[in-house]
Amino acid sequence: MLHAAVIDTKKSKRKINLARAEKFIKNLHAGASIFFVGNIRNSNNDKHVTGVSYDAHDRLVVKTFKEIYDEAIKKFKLKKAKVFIEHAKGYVALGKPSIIIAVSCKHRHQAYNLSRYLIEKIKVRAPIWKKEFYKYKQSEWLKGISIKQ
Amino acid sequence: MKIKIVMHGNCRDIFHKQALQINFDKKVKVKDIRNKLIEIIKHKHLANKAYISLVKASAFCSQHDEIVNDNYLLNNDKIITIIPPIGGG
Repeated sequence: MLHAAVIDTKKSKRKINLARAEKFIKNLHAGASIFFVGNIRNSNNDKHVTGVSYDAHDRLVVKTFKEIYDEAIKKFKLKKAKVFIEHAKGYVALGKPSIIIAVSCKHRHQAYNLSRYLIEKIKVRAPIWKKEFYKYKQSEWLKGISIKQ
Repeated sequence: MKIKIVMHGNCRDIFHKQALQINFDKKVKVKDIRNKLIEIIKHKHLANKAYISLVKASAFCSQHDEIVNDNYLLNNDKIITIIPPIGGG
């Protein structure tokens, strides 16, 4: 079972948070839960980061999350796993979460494998863009990875 | 035919818009749109090499949320989205 969403920090009243993730992945068939939270850190490439703004192609992001989830379930032969993925869109302040991936599986090795697979694939396949903000009102779009066919 | 090209990421800053409307005389393939965008950069940004590289490295997404290649023909599509190199998380 999957919950996948892009949460626009401007348009949405709610922010991505662990409580919703925990509620969604609650699973009596699961002995292991893993919560991955990607936060905005204060430095990148020797630059002092003050915040990050994300842009996303929302529909394609959710579609990509679903594709990656389906692949993972097949790859790790998982039954009754629950997955919660939310990514922020818009400005995210220092220390705040940009992505939450929560999974629950029968065994811990499955949960670790699933969580790691999801974040690594999302990083290289989901159409999300990151603009970092620095001191003195400077900013820069990060270089990124081409998904051109 | 008039095509709306939706921008994301760095492309919004390069073209100073969230979307461009461009008229094409004939039926359009993705490669025609890519070439048109490169033409605009040559004209408006003194052929900025980084911007041209970005457009060359970009993917395109159809109205049906499919990543399409350069030979994709926009038959009934009126909207296409440019997908510059990605990097979320």
